[in-house]
Amino acid sequence: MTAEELAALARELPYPPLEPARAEAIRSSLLAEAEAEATTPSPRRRWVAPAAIALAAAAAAALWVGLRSPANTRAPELAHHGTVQAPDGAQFVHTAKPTPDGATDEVVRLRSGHVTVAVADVARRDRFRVVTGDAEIESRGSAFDVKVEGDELIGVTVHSGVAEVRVHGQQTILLGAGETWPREEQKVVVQDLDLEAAEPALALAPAPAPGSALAPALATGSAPATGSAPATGSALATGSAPATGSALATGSAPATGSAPATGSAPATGSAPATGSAPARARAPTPAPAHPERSPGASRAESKGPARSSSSPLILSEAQAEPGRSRRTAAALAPSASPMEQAFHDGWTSLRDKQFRTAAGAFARAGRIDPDAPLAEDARYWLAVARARAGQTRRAAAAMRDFLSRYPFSDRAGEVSVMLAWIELRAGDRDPAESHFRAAIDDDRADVRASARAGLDALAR
Amino acid sequence: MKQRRGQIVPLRRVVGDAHEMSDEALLAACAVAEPAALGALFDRHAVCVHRFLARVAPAGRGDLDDLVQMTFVEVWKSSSRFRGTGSARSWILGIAANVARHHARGEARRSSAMRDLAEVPPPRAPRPDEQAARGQLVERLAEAVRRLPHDLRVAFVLCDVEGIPGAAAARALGVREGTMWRRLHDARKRLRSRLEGRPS
Repeated sequence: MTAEELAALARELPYPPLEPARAEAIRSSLLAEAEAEATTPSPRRRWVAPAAIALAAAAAAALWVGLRSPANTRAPELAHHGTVQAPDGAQFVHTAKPTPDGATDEVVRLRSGHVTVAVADVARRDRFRVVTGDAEIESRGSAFDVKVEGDELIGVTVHSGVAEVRVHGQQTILLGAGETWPREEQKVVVQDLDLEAAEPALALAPAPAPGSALAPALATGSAPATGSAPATGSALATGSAPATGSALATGSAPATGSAPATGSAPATGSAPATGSAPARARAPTPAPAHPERSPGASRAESKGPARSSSSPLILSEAQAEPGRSRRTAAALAPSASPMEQAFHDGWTSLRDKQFRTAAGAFARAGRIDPDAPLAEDARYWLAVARARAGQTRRAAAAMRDFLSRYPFSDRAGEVSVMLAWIELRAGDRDPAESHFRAAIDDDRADVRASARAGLDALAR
Repeated sequence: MKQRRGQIVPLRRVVGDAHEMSDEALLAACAVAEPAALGALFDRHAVCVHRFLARVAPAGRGDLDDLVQMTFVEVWKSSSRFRGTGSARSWILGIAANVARHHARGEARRSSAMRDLAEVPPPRAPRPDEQAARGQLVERLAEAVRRLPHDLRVAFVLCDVEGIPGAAAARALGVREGTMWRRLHDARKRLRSRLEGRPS
């Protein structure tokens, strides 16, 4: 048998096919891991920084001793045109690179969060851009806000000057002072929500009950705090990359675009968090209890604050009833708080199957007032949206966060089950068993059944 | 508040549709942490990597999925080391081969033969079409390939089944070209012997 015949025969060797569903599951898990890697410094690189600093110091000393020429130890200074303020812990990288023709290409790579950017007059050859995973905003002199969730551009608001918004796959938009992207007419009001055809993760997650935490609990005196939380935390700007003149600023303090290419000392700035704001009172409106949730609701009432439904987001009873295919939400009232607006945006995106955008909106809603009752719903739907988006690890993290914050929630059982299935799929059998067991006595029959099925699967 | 450490990163933007970019451009984009590029690479090469791993790594279905994912995670982490001296496909398969080797070592250490046995589906009755001589020959070859030492099996599957040139395969595996050819020669010789019923 010749080598060619052997090879031809070998190409007929059987192998298990990679079904699309499995490929998609691997892909989702892979991308979630890659995203986590992208935002976490690699442990392997921990030794690089000290080594680089040591090498740089040695090189500088050699140059100082050998050449005695200050000009030789100074890297070219790059002009910075923009300042970036991130009051809510945005993750961004602010770089300025020289171009071959001597100009400066200044980029703010924003992965998540909200930043306020002020750009001074940019020279004709220079550029200043805010880049996200799916878009970029370029300015030659303006002030604007950019919001990003899950590496996707959520919104741009220009306060002064002009900014150009380029979203992948869409036409370039020029925004003037006072204009926003997406434009108002692009926004959709939640009207129909069909959850019957939902996939398992969402099927386990019914629509928010009117009697649940959709509305801020007036009875407990807590209300969404809408206030300013200026300059929390600190930012680290290290500049020691003479090749590119780039520096990282990750954090939440104002990071002015002034990390010079030759700087070697971390420039840190911190400011205390002072995020108090006046609570806004609203009139409560009684709402019927969720039929399936009655026991849970009573349990919640016995363990936690009573919830009333005063939100303009409140859904009709038809929405809360399992089995109804058409679910209708009231339009968002003009007086809706930012938290309610974000929650509403999440619902809109969820209905449109824009799961990543939905996750971003729910995450935003959860951050605005972490202690508000609506935050519980926001965190719950954040986990669901992440699961539906295929962001398995992030979904699991959101579920763990939910369970740690709301261990007595009437949704704890279903979140436990969803988390357990994810863990089982990942081969984490012990935590999966623990979470299945946590849901085995849940008030809801479908949750109990799912937990039993999970334990059966573990036993096999 | 948790404070992140600073990190210097190069910044390059993926321009255009990731699915229209070359493998090499996608790897460059991976090197600057663009997950969309990794997704596009996965879409292009997942089936090939899966097939390759199924043939070189004795693993159950769940393990196979994990190996595929680990391969692409390594692609993501190592993309900055891709030098473009060979094709991206051979480079990715080289990573898959290393992942499979680590897996095989781990399996050996854990003495998980029993678990492997449990995951191997029970032998099924041969179908009529498999009664044909060619089918029997393929089955005997499959068994013979399984019995090859790992390095020889990788060399054979990489070069003769996946069609990666010997020089590129050697670069991908980080071995000398002569070593690669010797492994391939040994693998073919052993396979022929087993197919012809001779002791190898």
